[in-house]
Amino acid sequence: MNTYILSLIFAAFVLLIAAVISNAIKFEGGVNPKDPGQRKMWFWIFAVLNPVLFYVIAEFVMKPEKVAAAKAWSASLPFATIVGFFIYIILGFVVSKIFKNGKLGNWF
Amino acid sequence: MRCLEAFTHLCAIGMFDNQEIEILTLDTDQLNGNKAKTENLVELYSRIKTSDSGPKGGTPNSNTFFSAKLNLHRFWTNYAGSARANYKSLSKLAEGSPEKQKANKLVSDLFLHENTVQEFNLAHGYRAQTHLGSHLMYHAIIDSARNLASGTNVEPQDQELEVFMNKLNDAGKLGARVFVFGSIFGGTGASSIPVLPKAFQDFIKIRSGGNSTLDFSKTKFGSTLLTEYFSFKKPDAKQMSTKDDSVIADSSFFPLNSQAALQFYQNDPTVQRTYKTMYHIGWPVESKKMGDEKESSTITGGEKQKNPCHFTEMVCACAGYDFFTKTTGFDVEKTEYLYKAIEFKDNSFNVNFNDFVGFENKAGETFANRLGAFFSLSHIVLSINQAAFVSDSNAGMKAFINRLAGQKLPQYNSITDAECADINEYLKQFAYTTEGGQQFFPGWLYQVRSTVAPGSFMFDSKAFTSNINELKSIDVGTLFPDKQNHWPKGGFISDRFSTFVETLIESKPEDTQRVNTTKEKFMAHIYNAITKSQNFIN
Repeated sequence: MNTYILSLIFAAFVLLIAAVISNAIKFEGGVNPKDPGQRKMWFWIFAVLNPVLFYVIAEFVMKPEKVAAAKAWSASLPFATIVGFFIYIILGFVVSKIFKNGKLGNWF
Repeated sequence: MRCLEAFTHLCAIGMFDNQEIEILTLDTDQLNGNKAKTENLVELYSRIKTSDSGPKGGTPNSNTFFSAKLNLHRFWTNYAGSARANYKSLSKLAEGSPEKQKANKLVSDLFLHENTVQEFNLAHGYRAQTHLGSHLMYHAIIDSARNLASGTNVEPQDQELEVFMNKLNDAGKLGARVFVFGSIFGGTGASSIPVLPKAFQDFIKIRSGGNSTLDFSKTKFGSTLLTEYFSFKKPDAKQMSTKDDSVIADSSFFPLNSQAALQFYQNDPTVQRTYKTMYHIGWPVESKKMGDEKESSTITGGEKQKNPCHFTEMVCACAGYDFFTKTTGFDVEKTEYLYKAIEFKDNSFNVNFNDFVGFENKAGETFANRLGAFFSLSHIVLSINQAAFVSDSNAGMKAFINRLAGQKLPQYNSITDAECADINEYLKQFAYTTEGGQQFFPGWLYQVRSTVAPGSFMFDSKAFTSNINELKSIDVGTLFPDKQNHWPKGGFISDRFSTFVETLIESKPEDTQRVNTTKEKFMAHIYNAITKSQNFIN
């Protein structure tokens, strides 16, 4: 599979995990509720984890065995990783704006 | 005054939708602590409803907190200075021709004990001397009308009384209802109830030069007949040795006073003619002791008189609700006396929502929803949002605004910190506060509940915890004893408060609530979210 498509799918999957965790964080009361900050924190943790995990998995687990294909895979992987990083953030931004009044709205 | 305090709280929870209510406080003791507390509460209520863009005191709303508009007017009798300090000097018994002096003295001595009742200081009220009080209160109101008519010796309280009377006169032409709160065993209230309708009628006659009057078939009067429900330290001989304090109300005579007063109210033709409905409210068990036994003397009035609130006062306020909302019973020729009973079992009271307002037109359900919603709001603001524990400007109501702003709902950001502080302060007076998060001070609802404890009082007993650690972690969604009214849990990874915030985010004020200003919309928004969470249909 193309590294770029894989990167897109992986970013969407990581974003889904970030969304599940953010939704699991309860709304708090009080003078300084920490829940919005926690949701934002988890979003950015996964923003960092997304390229790292994607690169490690793609390079060491999913890399094709054939030399030519492996070479092309390794050549496109850094770019796909960078693209995946931005896709995660862009998707996260869009989702945050769609659900702006909900918990995911705390991402941006 | 404490009945009025309870009535104000009924208005705050939203029991008087779309109403503009004129309040007249009437007292002999302008410095009285209970009076000041109640007047401050009404002013705080009005301040909460006031906004820069709207009229003072806001506008009447529907289905929301603080829905009624309250206008406060104050009248107090002036007994300052030696010429007005007691009956003898006030009535000028020593003036006029010898024959006139003799006649005045004979009449006075016939009704009022010469060395005590005629000479005690009136500044702290009528001290359970009801016959003297009725005479003086009537004349204070008539004097006020005469002063206003002649333009001489007009005091600020006369002007406030006139504003009230003008509104009463105008409203009376279409049909007005006047409800008088007062006990029948004490001094000022007991003295005033019988004479007020006539005094108001005569005031209007004097001010209009005989062109206008109060028609009792159009202006309907109702009142409480509140018998003894508290007692206090018996005055000792030392305190009563001065002429100023030669008469001090003795609570051991309150049952006797009540009995005599009830006989009077049952037979007096003026009362029968002027009052449509009287609500007989009493306390069937031993009266609660007020004040501190360690006090060196009996508190007769003044700033020191700040007694805790009592269940019967809340019942009086609910009697007011019944009088203002009922649609029948006004075509009676003689006063109708109403009463009801509540369950007293195993030496304790068991009170439910219907006991206060009945169940006609779902009044009990409405009362449960609104009182429950306001109580929940109090816990959220004071405990969860910490307004009772810290002095941070982001605590309490401001935390709500910050939460909504954080969820991209910035429409309430223009509500100032001072406006939020007013609402926090009101809720503290309604429920409780603490000193620096250490010492707990019960507010009105807690005080009322304590008078029927350990009996059941509408809500789960855990709702009335005074333990500060328990308050900080209170489950605000489980105040009702009926699980049907518990807030939804929202699944295993959520809790009731978090689910409530989600409901808050989804809610909004409705057009039917007739809210105009930002603050009114904000209160309606919160009201709707809590009502929905409590599973009451709005």
